[in-house]
Amino acid sequence: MKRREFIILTGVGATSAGMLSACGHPEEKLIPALIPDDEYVPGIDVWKASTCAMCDAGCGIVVRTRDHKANKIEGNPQHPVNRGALCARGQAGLQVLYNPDRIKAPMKRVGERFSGQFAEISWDEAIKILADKLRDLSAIGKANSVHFFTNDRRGMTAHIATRFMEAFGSHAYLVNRLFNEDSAISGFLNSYPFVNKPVFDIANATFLLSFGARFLETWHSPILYSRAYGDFRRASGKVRGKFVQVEPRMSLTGANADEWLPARVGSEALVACAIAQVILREGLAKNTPDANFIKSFEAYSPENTAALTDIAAEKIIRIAREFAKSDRPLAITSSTIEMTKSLASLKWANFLNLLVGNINQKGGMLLLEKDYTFPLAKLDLPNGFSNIDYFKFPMMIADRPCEILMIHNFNPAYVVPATKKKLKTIPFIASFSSFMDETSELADLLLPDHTSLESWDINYAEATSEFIVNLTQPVVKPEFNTKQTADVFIALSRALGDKVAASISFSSIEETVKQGFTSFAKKETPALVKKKAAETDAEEDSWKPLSEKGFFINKLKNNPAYELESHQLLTNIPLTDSLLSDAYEDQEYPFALLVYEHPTLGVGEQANLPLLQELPDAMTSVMWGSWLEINPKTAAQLGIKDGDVVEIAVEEVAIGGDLRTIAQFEPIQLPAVLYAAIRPDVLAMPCGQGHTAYGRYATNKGVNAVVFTIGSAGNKRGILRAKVKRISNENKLIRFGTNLPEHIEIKR
Amino acid sequence: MSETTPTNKPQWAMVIDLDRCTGCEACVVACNVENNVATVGAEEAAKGRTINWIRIERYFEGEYPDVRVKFRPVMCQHCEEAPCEPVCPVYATYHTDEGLNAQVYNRCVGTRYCANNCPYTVRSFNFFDHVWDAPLQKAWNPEVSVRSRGVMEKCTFCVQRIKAGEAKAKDENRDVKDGDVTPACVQTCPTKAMYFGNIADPTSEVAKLSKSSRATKLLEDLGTKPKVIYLNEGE
Amino acid sequence: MQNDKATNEKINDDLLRPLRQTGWAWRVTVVVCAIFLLAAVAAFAYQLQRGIGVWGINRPVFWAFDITNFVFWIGISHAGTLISAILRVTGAEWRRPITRCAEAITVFALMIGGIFPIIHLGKPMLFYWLAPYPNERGLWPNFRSPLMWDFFAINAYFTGSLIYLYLPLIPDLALVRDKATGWRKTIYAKLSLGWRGTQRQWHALEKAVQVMAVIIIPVAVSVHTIVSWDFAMAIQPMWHSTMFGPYFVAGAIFSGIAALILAMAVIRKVFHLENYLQPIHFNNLGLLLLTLSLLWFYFTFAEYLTTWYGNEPHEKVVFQSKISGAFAPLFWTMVVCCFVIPMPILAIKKLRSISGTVIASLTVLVGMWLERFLIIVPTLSQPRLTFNWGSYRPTIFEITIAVGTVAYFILLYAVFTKLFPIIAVWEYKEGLTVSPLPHPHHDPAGATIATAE
Repeated sequence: MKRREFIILTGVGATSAGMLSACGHPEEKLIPALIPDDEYVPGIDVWKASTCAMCDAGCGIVVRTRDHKANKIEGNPQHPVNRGALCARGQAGLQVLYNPDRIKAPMKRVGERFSGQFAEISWDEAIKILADKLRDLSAIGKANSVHFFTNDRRGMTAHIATRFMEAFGSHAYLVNRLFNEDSAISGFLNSYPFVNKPVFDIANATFLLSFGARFLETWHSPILYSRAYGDFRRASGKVRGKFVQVEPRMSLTGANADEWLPARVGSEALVACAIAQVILREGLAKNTPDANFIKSFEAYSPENTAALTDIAAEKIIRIAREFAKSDRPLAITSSTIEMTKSLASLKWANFLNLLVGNINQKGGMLLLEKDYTFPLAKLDLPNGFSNIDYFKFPMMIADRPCEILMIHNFNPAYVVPATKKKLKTIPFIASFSSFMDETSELADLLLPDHTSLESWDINYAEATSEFIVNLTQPVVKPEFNTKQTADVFIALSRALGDKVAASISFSSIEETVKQGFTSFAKKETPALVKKKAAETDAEEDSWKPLSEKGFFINKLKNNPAYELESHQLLTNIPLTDSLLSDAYEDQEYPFALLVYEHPTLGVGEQANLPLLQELPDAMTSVMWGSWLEINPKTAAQLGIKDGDVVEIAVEEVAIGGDLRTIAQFEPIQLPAVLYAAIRPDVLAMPCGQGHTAYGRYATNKGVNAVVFTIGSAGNKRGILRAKVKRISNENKLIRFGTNLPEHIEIKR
Repeated sequence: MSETTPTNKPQWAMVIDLDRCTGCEACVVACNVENNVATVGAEEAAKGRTINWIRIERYFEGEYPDVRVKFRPVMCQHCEEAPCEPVCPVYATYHTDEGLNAQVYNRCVGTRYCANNCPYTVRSFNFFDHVWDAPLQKAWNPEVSVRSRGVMEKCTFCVQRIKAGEAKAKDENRDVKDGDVTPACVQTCPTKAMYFGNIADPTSEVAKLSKSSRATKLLEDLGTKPKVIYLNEGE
Repeated sequence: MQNDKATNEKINDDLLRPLRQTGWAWRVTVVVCAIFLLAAVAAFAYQLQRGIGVWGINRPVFWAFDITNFVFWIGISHAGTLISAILRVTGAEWRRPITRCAEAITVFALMIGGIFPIIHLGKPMLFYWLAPYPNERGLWPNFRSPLMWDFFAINAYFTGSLIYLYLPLIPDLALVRDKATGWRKTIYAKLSLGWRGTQRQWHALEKAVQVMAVIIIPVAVSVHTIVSWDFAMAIQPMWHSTMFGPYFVAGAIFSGIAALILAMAVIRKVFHLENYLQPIHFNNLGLLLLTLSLLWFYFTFAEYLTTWYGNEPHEKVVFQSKISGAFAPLFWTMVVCCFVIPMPILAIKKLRSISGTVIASLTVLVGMWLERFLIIVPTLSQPRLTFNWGSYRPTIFEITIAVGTVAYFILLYAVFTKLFPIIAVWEYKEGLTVSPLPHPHHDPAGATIATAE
């Protein structure tokens, strides 16, 4: 093998070492991220910093490129979120860029509507088609019948779209995550001026009590918390932390716990209350609410609630003691334990944090000022997007006049397949998707967006205790004839003229990002007002090191945490009244159906990446498909064997308004997995599969489980009930490894 | 069978802390990307023909509700007494003087004997030529050859990174030290469960960790002397 | 003398008849076998073009039908040389009509067995890389690999067997040469190497055959021992057994004799050689088969008992899967085929008839094929790390190739019987003269006739 330079060019030192030896004009070559493509040195790696777009966490990445091609993504070693680490999804990011099923150029529909037949056109033509449509509508006073939806919560697309749409006379909507992992300490805390996303210092905790928070997989910022978990277990000079997970179906995160408490579905809040009750009655709390509260809280003793939670009182008492007596106890929780909307668990798990007094303490829950967590709010942009939950999308397009639907990075035809019917009533649909997904198939105009590795953007990072601004910049030239959606809006605004054109003063997203990012670094409040040319030149100097680093930390204060003590929050806690109602039983539909986010395929966004399709699910070892998890004992009763095809039927859910029709579910068939770590009265299945479009790797793999989330979203109890029966023994599971125990005991 | 000659070359080894490992499989994907490991597709995967240089083994222990799960990343253990090496008739797999169990793809004729004699089942065979739908192949790592049909492949400890790290150390006129070489799996590990380095250097992290009371080797009783050391869970 | 001459003529006529006349049975056999062979060639051609993935092998079962067939055919090859050599060396007179039958089996079985290690390669076209020759890779092959030992052992055995088949064929070739006309005469003349049946030639032949017989016995033993070491040298559960050498050799001879009995029965029927291949031959071979059936049972019992008693966890897993697990149906079929059926048939004198021994041989062949399959697949499919357990199902390609090789064997054998006397004429005649006379006689009738003309 020819010896080659191998340089990780993330620091200036390493940078200059590598580049000085390679080029003749060192003063121009200091910053690898800025090397123009035509100055590439063949055979030399160039690393470019950007931000991972595979989830919302906002990990910093460096991308290894050589000869105009990106060949590896790694975590940015300097980035405070991930410190060089990256998850399975992030590692697969190149397959988004180089995906063979990308839409390769703008296209317009030819032939019948919804026939899926498109012909390539030029960008000029594509923008003209859309601009003409918009202008025509505006002319007849129907501007408000144009709607833009995006799922992109991380970056500037929604900002620019909002500016555009509002100037045009309508709205842009930002669709929430399907599994909205809020950690709002709701109710009694919302009056405080901090954001609803606290940060948890898991690394320094000594006892971690998690209520369904899959912090090693999908919760908030998986890498940040995985790093913390490593230190939680084995940081030098620290005792090994103990970790208890409460959830009805053991997740990958739960699999790493020292103890797993399979509480009845929806009873997580009760478990938290029972633990809190023990802490209070045994006087283990650092902060104590008033006597009246303690008195009325006696109803939640573990003895009283054991029947409802299905967790033995002794176990609760032991864990409560261990938790409260531990040096630095910490409770975390997810608002979507598997699929159930469990806001009560959010509240009562965080109540435990208040009792042990860990707010803004080492190893505790850190509450940050709002400014820290969403830097983009600082951009001179209209405040407040119109956020909607995905399941309200069908109602929205039904309730409002809708002549033109513009849709970006959001796939309603997949997440709510029943909306297809409604989508088809919309006269004109323009899709900005990079892929031919289920919704794009229905479109009349395709305006494919760049993938993240070709784009310019400013992003925020989730769940950090620092004010981080992330930079997304192209690591390679666009692979296909695509255009960044923000630039399409700029072009559209120019085409429409007048006040719409005035709403966006920048000529390109690249310029916007460069200036916005530089002004962040200068601790200025960035303004999206175009500066004079002379000033832009001067800014190049400050831009270079920033772009090389790929992110920026603004330490505005020494302590970013909101100054607040736990005991301040322990007043006026309303005791909820509905927690003690009897556990819900149903003869016809005996099982609770949990639908959870696939650890790597997400809710289907990553199903088109072969690397992740062929990555065995860590718990079940299944590849390339869906499965239904059943407790082995339950399965034996139903005569179901591992790998058998089963049919699940879900109860009809009465949801108000237009959703009524949508919440009737067809029975679906899929292979069963006998799963040792699930409650006998629970069935669970992952989201992510069941695409009918979205490229060759995603299409016709498994079943679409996302559809059921709408049922639980609309369901008052938050729990969808189901029944299951065996259909055949035709084994369709594609498995990587076995379910066998490590040591097989054979009696002689 | 294999003579151990005294050498001042680095002896590469890995330490995996099972207490930190969460089974997230980031290492698996990182390895696939770094080493151009092929995706075989659903049909072939169903036949048990995926190519994996590293895998996470998952074992359930106990019955509901007292279920515990163990994860263990397993890759080529780079055994000092590797059972795969003597059985290859064409020297496609052999031991380097840096303690690596090397696989020479263009020598391999595909007898598959090495894989049959590997107690760790870490070798993958290319049953077919693999298709990389264009433009996916643009993401190939130019430092790693793409394996053709009919040859065996397995973890190399990212030998391309080892060579680059050694070259860098040589340029700087010094011995390799911790941090010079980081295989893709170790680099990406979110919980920092993996360590890599020169075990012959007593000051290296792996040398220190390998002396831990938690240190074990996989199927140690076979006498294969693996170069991957696992640190067990627990205190 | 007149009487002798008539007998001579009769023997010549009987034993050379297959070379002169071609019956319909022969033609049908050849055509059917050729079709199967072509199918196998086509299957292999497809495999070459697509890759070995057309087979059912996978991770962890990297070997299955391929190596099963390899071991099976190498086992069959022990019929011949070993039996004929042992019987020759020990001077068993009844061997005389059997020897060539057996020697031909050896050569053809080796030819076929040798195909499998080549076609099972991931890159079959590079099979010659196993040979030690000065090459551009600048490498010797790895002499530590049992596959290399196989390479040399099988080549040595094949060469030896070919010579051992050829040497006693020379006087018969001369006989055929003398009876043939035209181009055939030229070919047989070339092949018979100027045999004139002089005292010196007879002496030399006798000597050579004796030397070869002595040499070939240890070579044959070593071949199957080395084949067994493909497994025994590995560290996988239930492969790593010290007993595998003798176990495999016994099994090889066992299946070899079975194959020989079958071949003899077919030849006897097709070529009407009832007077030459007599019940006594089947009886004697049946007794040998019985001995080996008992020996096989003893080895199998010893092998499995020690595994069970030793209770080593990984071995126990494989053991259990054969005794009562997924492989139990195949395992018990094997026991029935190798022992339960043939043992009584062969032990009871009444049942040890021609048809009795043929039935026993058929079951033994099935059983011994299963034995090889059960040595390979259960071990491979249940590796030590249980997460990686797998399973195996053959595909149509493997089955076609397996069936095709059987057809190929029959085809080769059928063609051989067409070209060469399948019963050694001179040896048979020698037997006739030897039996009544106590001292050896170096003027066999055939040679006399040949020189008389």
